Amino acid sequence: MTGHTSIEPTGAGLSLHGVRKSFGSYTAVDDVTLDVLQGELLGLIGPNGAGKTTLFNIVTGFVRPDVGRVVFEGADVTRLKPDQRVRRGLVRTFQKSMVFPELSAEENIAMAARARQGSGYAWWRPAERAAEALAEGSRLLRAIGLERRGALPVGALSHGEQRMVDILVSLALRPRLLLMDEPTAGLTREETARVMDLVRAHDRSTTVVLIAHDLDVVFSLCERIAVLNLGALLAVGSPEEIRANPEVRTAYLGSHREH
Amino acid sequence: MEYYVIQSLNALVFAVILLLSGLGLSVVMSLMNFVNLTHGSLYLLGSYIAVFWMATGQPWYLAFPAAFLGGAAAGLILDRFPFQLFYARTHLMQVLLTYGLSVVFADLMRWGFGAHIATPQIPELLRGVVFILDTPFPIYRLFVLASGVVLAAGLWFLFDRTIWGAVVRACVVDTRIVEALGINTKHVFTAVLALSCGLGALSGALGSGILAAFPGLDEEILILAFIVVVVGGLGTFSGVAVSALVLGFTMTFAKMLSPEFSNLMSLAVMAGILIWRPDGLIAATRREV
Amino acid sequence: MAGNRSTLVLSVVVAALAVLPLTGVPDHHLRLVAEILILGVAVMSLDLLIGYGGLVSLGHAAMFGVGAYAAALFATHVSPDLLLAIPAGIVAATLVGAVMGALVMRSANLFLLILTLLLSQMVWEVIFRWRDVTGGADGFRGIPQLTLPGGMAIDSGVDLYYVAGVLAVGAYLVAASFVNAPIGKALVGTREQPIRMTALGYSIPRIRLSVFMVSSAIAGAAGALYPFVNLYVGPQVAHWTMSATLVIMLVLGGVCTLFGGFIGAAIYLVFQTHVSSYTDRWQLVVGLAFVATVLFVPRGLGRELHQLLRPLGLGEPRVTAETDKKGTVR
Repeated sequence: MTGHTSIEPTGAGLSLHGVRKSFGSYTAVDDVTLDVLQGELLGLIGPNGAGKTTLFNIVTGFVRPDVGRVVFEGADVTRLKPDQRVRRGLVRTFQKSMVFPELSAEENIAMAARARQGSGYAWWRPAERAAEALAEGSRLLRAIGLERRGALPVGALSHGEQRMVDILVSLALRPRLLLMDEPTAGLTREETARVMDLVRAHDRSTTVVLIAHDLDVVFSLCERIAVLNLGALLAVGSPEEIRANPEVRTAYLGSHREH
Repeated sequence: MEYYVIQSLNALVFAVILLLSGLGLSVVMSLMNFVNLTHGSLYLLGSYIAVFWMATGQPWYLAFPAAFLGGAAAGLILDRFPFQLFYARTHLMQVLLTYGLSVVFADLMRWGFGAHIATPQIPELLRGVVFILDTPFPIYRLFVLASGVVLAAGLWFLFDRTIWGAVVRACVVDTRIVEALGINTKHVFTAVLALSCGLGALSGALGSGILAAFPGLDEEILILAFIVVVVGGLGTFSGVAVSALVLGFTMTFAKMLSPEFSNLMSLAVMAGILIWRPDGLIAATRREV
Repeated sequence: MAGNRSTLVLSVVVAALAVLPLTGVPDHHLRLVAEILILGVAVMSLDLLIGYGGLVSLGHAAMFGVGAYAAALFATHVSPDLLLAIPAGIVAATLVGAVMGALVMRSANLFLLILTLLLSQMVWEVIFRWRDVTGGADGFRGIPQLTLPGGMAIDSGVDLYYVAGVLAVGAYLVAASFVNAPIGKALVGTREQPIRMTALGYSIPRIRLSVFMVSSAIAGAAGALYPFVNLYVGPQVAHWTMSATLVIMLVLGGVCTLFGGFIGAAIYLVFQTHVSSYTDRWQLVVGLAFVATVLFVPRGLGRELHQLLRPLGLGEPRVTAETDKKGTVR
């Protein structure tokens, strides 16, 4: 496995090689090969059922591909478990907010911060480590303007605020690669801008892959865009190239007709 | 050789008793998502009904419908109160409620039927033995084997192949849609519970000629049936069948190999299956991320 | 603040327990209280699994039983010294707990319940069949009294009561520090949102193994003292019905509270002792009482008591969970 790593192009944070996944007779992801460059913001779009979330699941290890390899920062991670990938900096957010509703926002973030520090399993903990984790929580909350809500149980926050906390939790892991599945769904324009600014400002070298239904968000923010349709990669390119691509238009028009 | 054939038959008979009691448990678990730990009590109730019925001199074959009706009636009452309150609760709360009830029922039956071992007076027709490969084998066991297979096949047909089964299965997927079709899902659940309880009692009636009836048997049967259903994968018909066969054969042949360690071996086999396949032999649904 | 308050409450309870023997309570009552404290510790250790971890085990008696037999055997054959025999029970139970924890790693819900039942019954079979060592069905007799390091025998109800009291306080502090530490929060996290925990980089098997070992160690400590109450231990302490009794006590006292374990054990044992002296049908009465609890006080009597005490300045337990919503098998 490691023998292949030398042939990876430099600059690729994440590479997918011929990845395929079927559920029964249904092929969710069909032979996808894709390089995501270190530090870029890549948009992943496609009609409903195009295989975007399955692709995320494959990259993060929640689903194992039938064939193909996932290479992250030069190392083959295809066989690693999800939590092992997270510890390498390969982090995701979920379509649905996955917060701990009974814990405060600060505690939610601290749970992630402790995981990153390596003190998540500690029993007899040094106090400064715990304080550090909580401080990370307040720092991130301040950065997005939620510091007043930090002590409330997350379940008591608004839907949009919960989404933002969810993303802060992922940022507290200091990801090298952040896969965001519909992070902006349910957020206002202004909240979306705040979230995406924070994600970019948090660490410039972090690679971000963004799934969003709101094409305006993708086209205005992303440096490159990849289009999936029926599990296959249709096109990759700059927003201008994608806008001009006739196949992409057909795929989207086709899906619009269904509605 | 003869010996193995006879032991295999014994294993089959035992597997059929496990299958019948397991199916009753599995039907409510898969269709209603309800864990009913009073199932062992219903089995024992059925055994006692058969013992007392056969002692009265009434036609013996009516003991089985009597046990079924007795169990189903108990099911109707239990459905009314308190089960209905718990259909939508978590498995843990269901387990606690029904385990508590099974403790109550166990003591009530000990009170009512005594603490001795009660054996039914098996009718003349089923009393003797037949010779299989020159080895005697009790006719009653063959009777249990045959009726068990017929019952299991009938149940499978009912749930898998009839419109009635389709309605029940639809209730599991989406209650509201079935309600929208004008079917009262509450009644469907009541019927399924009554059927399951009746089945539990009927398997007790059939089993009474082999295992007799005594305090504590309820718990033994409950645990075995529960193991069979869970190891089978919680709620698939084929899973329960395979798992009942595995447990029936393991227990019979382990006893043959070493009476001392037979339980240990059987426990190890069932535990091994669950360690190897954490979702049981035949998983009912695919897990989704 | 909450920490200070619970420290205060704990100190008051400990002080009350410490002076109880001075009030002229008869010796056999102190023995009963000792038994309540011992079983309370076992129930509390089960609360770590069921309440905080959502891991509904029906095999906890195996750890309690192994602790009991290991300590009894150690005291008989090696040394009756308290500071050696109890740790012997703890070590043995922790080892069994670690093996069981590793084997049930991938299981959840009813599958976990049945797998723990099967594995614990295997332990019971070994105890039951290994007559030469354990006495088999007759149980193990001729256990010497525990001694303090100086050689002083722990023979009266008062002595036993104080040893059990020290055990209970110690076990409570260990369990409380566990649930308040990062590992305890991670454990609750795996109960609430296992997928999220994986996505945070937590290894769920590692967390589960930790709680299994800690819980087994505490159950083993409780089990280790148990044989010395009556200088006898029988195989029923490791039987699954004992596990079921521990679960019943936990529910009576209140899931996810830690202290509820003691309340549940007290209710059950006092009830059993009193009812069984009035009627042969005590099983019926206990069963009905338990069903009534599940029907009408599903959060457990301990938690309701806690609610009543709230105006006195006692807050909610630190990690709250509705027993009918969380900590579940689904």
